[in-house]
Amino acid sequence: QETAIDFGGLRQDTTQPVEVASDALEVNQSDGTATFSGNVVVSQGAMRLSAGRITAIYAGEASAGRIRELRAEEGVTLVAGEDAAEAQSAVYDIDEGSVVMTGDVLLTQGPTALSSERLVIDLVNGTGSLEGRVRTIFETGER
Amino acid sequence: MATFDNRHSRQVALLKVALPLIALAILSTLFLLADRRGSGDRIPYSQLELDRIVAEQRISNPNYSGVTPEGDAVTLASGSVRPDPESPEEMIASDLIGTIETPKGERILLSAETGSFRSGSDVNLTGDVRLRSSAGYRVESDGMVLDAETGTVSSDGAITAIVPPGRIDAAAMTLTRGADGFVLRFTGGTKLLYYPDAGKGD
Repeated sequence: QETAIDFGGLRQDTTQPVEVASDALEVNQSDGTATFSGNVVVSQGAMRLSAGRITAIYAGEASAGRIRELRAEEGVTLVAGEDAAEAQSAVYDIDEGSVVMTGDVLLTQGPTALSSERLVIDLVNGTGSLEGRVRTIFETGER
Repeated sequence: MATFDNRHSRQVALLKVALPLIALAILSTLFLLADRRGSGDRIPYSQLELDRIVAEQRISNPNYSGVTPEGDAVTLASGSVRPDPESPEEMIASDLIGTIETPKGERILLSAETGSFRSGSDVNLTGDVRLRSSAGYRVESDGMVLDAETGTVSSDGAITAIVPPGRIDAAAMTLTRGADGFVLRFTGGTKLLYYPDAGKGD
């Protein structure tokens, strides 16, 4: 089933500059694929997405330089405001402004934590939806 | 000169003298007005330049070309090459231009103010070093080392690269030959700045 979540902290303008920092970046000249490796951090506006490895996929010709999406692998963490989501991998479609996280997704919003198989975040209007077996984990101990 | 009674003979006698004189005059002015351009071309080096070339054993606009194991053509051309005053067995080239071209036509253009040929096939490029690739990458740095035998380039310092998606800053860069083309590797901490809305209009 699907659970809708409000990501207030994530509503942002997706045409803001995207900065991708990493230890190393390898660019294959012939097909233009760019692979960032080594604690990669993508930041745009208030959103930080960190992963072990990120590959940039181009829209159309590589030399046109339009990045369509960033594929993050090897453990992904997305932080925005006090919301945080972890998963095995994620795809951030820059033009559409959507982040799709898959594989043991764990979403923590303040005290509550939700886990599921898939989390789709819409950055344009700051909403998200958890799909697959959604389990809620309540913070039971006193803070 | 014989005198003649009729006008015709006198005219002929007069012309016999006047016409050759006119011809002589035309002939002599001919060389006077001839244009001088072709004559006396000097060699394009002044005496001072010649002395300097001899003194420094300088070779002017030399070029080198070779082929790497992968079959890429490496060419180097420069304004002039002369031995390094401190260590004579090393050569220093000024305004060096290098190209590396793969059989498929992918090209890398290198330019630098000076290039010093140290040991082996390494060429140290210094002074406003630029690398441009046919895929639209422009890398700038203060120093790069080109290995002319393998056609690989590595920067020995921080670099800034203008690339199709945006701009990359990194601590170091190497350009090597992958299976099907050049591979640019930025290391030591890299940062890409990408502007999504750039080019959205077109």
